[in-house]
Amino acid sequence: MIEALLTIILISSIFMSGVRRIKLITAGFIFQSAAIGLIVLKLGYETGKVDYYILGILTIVTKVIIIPLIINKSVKKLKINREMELIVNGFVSYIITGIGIMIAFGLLNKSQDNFLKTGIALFIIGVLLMVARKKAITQMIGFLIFENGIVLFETSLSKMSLVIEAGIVFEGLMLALIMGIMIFHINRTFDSINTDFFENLKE
Amino acid sequence: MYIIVLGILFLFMIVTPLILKNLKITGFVTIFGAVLVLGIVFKIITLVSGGNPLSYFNEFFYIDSLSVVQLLITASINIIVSIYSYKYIGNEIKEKIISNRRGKFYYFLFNFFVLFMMFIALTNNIVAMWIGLEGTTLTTAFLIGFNINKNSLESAWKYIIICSIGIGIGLIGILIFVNAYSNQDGSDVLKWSHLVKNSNPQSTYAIKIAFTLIFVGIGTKAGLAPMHTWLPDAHSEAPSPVSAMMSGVLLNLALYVILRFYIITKHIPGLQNTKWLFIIFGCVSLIISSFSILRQLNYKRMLAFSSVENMGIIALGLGVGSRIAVFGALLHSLVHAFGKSMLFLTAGNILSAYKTKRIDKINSLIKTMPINAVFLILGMLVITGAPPFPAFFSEYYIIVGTVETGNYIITALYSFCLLLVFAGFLRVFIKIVFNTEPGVKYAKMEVDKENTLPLALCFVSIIIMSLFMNGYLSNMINNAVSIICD
Repeated sequence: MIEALLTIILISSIFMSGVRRIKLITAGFIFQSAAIGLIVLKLGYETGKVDYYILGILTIVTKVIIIPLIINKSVKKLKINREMELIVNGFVSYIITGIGIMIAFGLLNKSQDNFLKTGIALFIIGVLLMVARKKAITQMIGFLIFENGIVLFETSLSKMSLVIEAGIVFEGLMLALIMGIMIFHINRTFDSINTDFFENLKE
Repeated sequence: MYIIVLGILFLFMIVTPLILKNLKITGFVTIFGAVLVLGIVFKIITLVSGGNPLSYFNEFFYIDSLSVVQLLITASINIIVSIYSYKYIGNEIKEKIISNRRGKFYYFLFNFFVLFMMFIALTNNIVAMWIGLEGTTLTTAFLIGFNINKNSLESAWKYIIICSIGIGIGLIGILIFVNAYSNQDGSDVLKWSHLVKNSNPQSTYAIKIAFTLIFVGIGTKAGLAPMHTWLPDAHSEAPSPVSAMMSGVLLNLALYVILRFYIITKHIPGLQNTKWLFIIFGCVSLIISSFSILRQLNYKRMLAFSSVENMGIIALGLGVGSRIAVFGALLHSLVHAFGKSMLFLTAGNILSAYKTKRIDKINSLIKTMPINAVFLILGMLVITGAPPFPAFFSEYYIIVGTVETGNYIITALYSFCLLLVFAGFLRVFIKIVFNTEPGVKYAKMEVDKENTLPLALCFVSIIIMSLFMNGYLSNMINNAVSIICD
């Protein structure tokens, strides 16, 4: 069960790393977050800890429902559909993603912990989306993938109290929200959310 | 007890701008609250001065001499900046640059920002320290983009993207760090005070990787050199009081979090080499920033690069590791906080009078704004380490430390960079203050007298610091040094 969900996470992240349509990226993100939420709930069911239930429900409510809704709404409002020019094109992104996953699973092949490996793969893919895409909204999704990786990482390593864990998740979500508001302001000031226009500040 | 009082105070200060319409009262409440916070911090300092740490709430909050230094910096800069903000925000509203609603929003975010910084200094839980740092990212993102225009939004977006990746990497490091102690009791493993006493991790290799990740990740937030790219943009585009607060206090606190982890790793046998991270990143910061200072056209950007340089100095002092160098580093973080706030606030006054950040557009400040010009020169002398001011002693102690440990190449590099910075600052500020263009008549500006009280406060604090250096201050810093070195 958990293996299958981890596979969904990996496949969805490979999918997201190459496509151009923001709607498709969002759909991939929904699948990924749902899988992570289910994994955390399953862990909660197995260990009987309340922490996991709360973390899982929080993940599903915010990342499967609220954030995709906001993204889709703003995509409609801002009239953007796809990334036009990519800094790293789709094909190369797929290859980098593949290499990233290979590195994550190869480096830790001694460890039995698949969460850890998947988490590291998600870090690589999230950072790739943040640096290799021009639209601010895709960069935000990249950050959210990174954040998903942190949730996985946390569930595998954690021995923290609920308050601390909730703090970490909550602040990630706040950061996503702030990015959303800032994208709105950027669109109003620059008439675009392409980060190409960010060239005023140089020496 | 004191923690609860602090919490209630901050709650009050955060809620006030939300419910009150009148910005003047909000400003007064913020100033008044800041004074009370400083009072509590002084009380805490007297309690800790014997060398015994305090702990509250099952050791969730833990105050020792090292955190006291950070608390002192945060609380005193907070007063100065909130006094400055009162007139600054009033002025912006009078000139119709921002609306009343955004003024309230400013105070709300500002108080939250200070709360998170106090939280970092007070807490004992290593993950909670991270939460505090992330909280400062959340609050300052909007403060940097406060004047919603092209430049500020660009810098704010850059800040969010770079710092959130950095902080995320830091969290990965912290999680690996905690996991390396899985042989120990689960409830204690997150407590710094516990880890520092029982540092026998399962694998030192994991700790090595974790500390490197923490250093690089949180070093992004501290503005150390290869990761500093967000800093000049953010500090030059943010409103001046926010730049003062970020440069004087926030960078320090990020370095303080790294230092807390460093103290734990130092006690583990086989990991002495981690000090080279501090030394190398410090040197790279010094070199990059000192050459960048020479070619700046924008004075706020130049001050921002000077922050990178000073963070490099502090990191270098901490990495060298002999008692005198660490003393110098801690003293320097105090002096830098006051000196840099003074410079940024003066720059804010100049900016609001001239409406430009370009160095070549400002001439003969001594005739147009004499009071600010004097403070600008004094601030420059403080920050570059001219002899009568304490920055001279701190930088000198670090030189002594490098010679003492036999790192002569670093000594040479360090002195050379300091010289470059001094030359760069002199060139720009002499030009700004004394240069007269032929045929132009310079009249004294009326705005000169406005908002000079906080500058004077900064300068008086620096003077007090140099007078009490042999008494209370050196006692406090020496206690902190023995936490780091022993």
